[in-house]
Amino acid sequence: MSDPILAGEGLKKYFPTRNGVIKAIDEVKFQMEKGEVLGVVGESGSGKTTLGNMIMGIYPPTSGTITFKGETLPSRAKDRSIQLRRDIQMVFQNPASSLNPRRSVRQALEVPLSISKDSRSMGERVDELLETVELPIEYADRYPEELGGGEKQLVAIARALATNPSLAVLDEPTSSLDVSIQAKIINVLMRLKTRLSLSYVFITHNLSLMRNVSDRVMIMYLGKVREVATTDEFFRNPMHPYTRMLLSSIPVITEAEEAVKPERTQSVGEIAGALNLPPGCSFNPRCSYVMDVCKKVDPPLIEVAPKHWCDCHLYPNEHKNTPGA
Amino acid sequence: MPLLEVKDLRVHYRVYEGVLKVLNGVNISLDKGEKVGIIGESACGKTTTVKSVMRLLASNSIMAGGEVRYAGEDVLKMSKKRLSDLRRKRMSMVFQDPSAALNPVFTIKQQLYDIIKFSTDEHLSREQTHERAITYLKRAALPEPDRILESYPFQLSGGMKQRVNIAMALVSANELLIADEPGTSLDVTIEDQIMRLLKKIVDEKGISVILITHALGTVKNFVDRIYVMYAGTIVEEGPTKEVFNNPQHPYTQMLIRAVPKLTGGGVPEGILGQVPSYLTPPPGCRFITRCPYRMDVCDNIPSMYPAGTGQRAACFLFDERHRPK
Amino acid sequence: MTSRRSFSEKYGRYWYKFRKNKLSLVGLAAIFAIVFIAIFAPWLAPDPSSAGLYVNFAGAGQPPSSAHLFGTDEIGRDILSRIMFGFRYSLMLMGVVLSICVVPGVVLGLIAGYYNGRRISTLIMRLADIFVAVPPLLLALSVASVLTPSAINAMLAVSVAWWPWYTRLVYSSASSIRNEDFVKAAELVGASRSHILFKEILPNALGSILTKVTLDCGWVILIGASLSYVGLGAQAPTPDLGTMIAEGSSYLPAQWWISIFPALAIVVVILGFNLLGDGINDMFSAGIS
Repeated sequence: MSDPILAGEGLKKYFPTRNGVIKAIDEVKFQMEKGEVLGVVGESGSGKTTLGNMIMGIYPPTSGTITFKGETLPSRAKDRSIQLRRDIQMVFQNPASSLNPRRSVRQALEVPLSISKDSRSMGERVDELLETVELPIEYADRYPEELGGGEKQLVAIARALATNPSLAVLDEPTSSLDVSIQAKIINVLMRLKTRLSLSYVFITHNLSLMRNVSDRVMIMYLGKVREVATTDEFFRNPMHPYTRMLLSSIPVITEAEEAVKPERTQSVGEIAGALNLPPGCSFNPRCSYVMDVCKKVDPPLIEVAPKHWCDCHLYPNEHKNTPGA
Repeated sequence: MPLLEVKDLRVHYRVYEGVLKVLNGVNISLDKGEKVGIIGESACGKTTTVKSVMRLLASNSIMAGGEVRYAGEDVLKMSKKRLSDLRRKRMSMVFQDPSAALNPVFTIKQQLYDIIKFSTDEHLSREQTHERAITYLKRAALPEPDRILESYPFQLSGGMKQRVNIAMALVSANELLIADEPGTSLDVTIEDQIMRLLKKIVDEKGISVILITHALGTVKNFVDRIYVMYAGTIVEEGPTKEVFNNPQHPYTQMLIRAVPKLTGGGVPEGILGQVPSYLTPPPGCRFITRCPYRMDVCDNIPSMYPAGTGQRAACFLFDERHRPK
Repeated sequence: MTSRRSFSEKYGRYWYKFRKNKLSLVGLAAIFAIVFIAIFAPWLAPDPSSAGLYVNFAGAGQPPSSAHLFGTDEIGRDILSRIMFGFRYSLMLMGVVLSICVVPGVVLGLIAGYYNGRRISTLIMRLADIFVAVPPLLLALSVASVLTPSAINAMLAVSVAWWPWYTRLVYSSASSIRNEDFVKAAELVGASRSHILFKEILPNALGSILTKVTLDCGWVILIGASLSYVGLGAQAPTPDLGTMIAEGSSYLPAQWWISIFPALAIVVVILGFNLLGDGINDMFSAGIS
């Protein structure tokens, strides 16, 4: 069993504000294998974007560590070596703001390319990148305003790949795109993953997409991991009440999909404000299975079934037959 | 007589590159108490269509043909005063971005009171206005309406802001409510609540609804009939259940296939090709550039032919004279 | 293999947005005319010697006529010619001042905006605040009065007052642009600080900078004229619009043309730059296509 390519242990990220402390991430641990797609799913306030930013070194964690390829990752991007920074790249959510409107595609791609030495000319390398993401090379001299949303996102992906990373954090890469274009982008991403042996941290709120793309799913709510499992296991047996609520809220199209959704756990209540987290399990005001203990004690994340972790008082017993640790 | 009739609507926009011939003869009808959905991807013209209904088009728009009749009256030609009566008392719209419709420097109270005052010709006292405001807020399932009235928009969450928008729309929308992507910028569990709430309200009051979205799943449980739009034309129309279970038009079929399914099945293929440019649209069927079934006759504009069960599709495949053997 | 865009493809859109407002075109035409006149004054002016040491008491104080379209001043110099040469001085003043203060002002603004929240940013902005707190004309007057009155010193005086406005403007743009994803992306790749400031952030702030430069052209000329009016700018016999107004003021209202025409010239210049500035603002605003 080789080392996981990325792992986080005891991660916390607190933002002190005038009105209190915002616990964007509160005690998160996770790991992912090389070549895997780890789907990180959550709504607003879940901490999924903060987690992505911490992996990138945009925010240092308040406590806890992240290890990459077995070594502890320096918490700030500028403390990381150039090689390390180039090894982990990010694709941002909003295609409109992730490209500089005043620079052409070529100029945007030259920035990461110019940092490494290569015998070929810049023009050749730009063309090669565009071909990798299946964009016509004529696009090199276009400006972002002349590109559609999907095309902009492909340029952003090309930019991320320019440094030959091993890991890419994809923050809602297709959320603002139309369905027909989303499919194209996802296909390009999956093909690239195989071709270039990449691992992806795929942040999204779209569980239908997760079903078809990720190997492992991690559900976050208000800064904590609520459930983690392999995709198949997850959809076969969703355990956490929040997960069940999430699944039953998804708008689906076919009757077959409706049948797969857990029996109606209707969504109620608002997502709590970060400064007013309920005591105990922060999901308790909205939970239809709430018990007394939920209002007082925060449940730990434990392995309830093989490779299936959940933090909920409904599942107090740790699975005993875990092969290896 | 239908409540709303849009006949052969043609709308163009004047831009730097020329004229965008967006709407190419759109036909929509809505009976009293009916709920219809318009689905389509971005820039397909769905927002342009409903803005024409309320005469809210941008200054660079050109009304190139067609009629909009509301309860028999010609909306495009009516006087400003009559239009104002229509907007104040009979129809209203909820927009996509919950923050955009709320003025950030005024409290909800100030904004809601204004709307209530304008919605009626009778003079209302302060108490009466206040009472009505509370009623509308309660109808939109907002807890603690007094506190909400005193709040500024930035103090409310996205879901609450959208509920406030719904409350405001209900003040004037006694006959027709147009909702343009009302849940798109909300979290999925909150969107689910908002859509269920909206459905309950409009069903109770018998309000007709036009729901616009690009999220196919959202519209499925809400509307009775669906219009599918592509590149400024209606390509399919029919009862919701039939359109989803048995799509007729090639675009509808490909669109439904392109949505990732909760039941798995892998990453769907997108729709190959691009939306045609509105500057130089194809002379006939606008889906011709991406349609696997294109025939010579498709260089002419197809009319809406009966198809499937109670559906109609704008495709020569359903014209007996051209149906391939 | 790779395609280069033609000039009109890249910049045609800007021109389209500019010419949408007819008044901007009027401004552009006015400024073109003024610049043209300033450059070719020696050949265009009906009586170029009027701009230098010249006296003609016989023809002094002539009202506007076909020989002297704007009349002659108190020592017989042709006012139209002097105005034409006066444009030269005004434009020169404007050019020098803006060259001196725009670049440092912008660079400081970029640094303050990018490092927003850190000490260097606070330092720069408070320094700018100090200069901004004093009214520009007052500051220019104070500086000019300490130095020997001359054209160059007037320019220096105005430059001292002017730079912080650019810093503030650019600070405001830069501090919001630096949070955009594309800046983060450049940082994550390891782009150098100067690349981020000048190649990523600056191009996006250019719209407001250019608009301000255009509007400032008018303002600088006005302040220069004000300094000359009180005698702290160009000295006689240099034809300067402000000086001309000052010299002619004692002959009002009888020989009104001596002061009024130079004043009108200033009005036209400032109006021209303002209208042009509106057009430039439109060019850079995200609007309908």
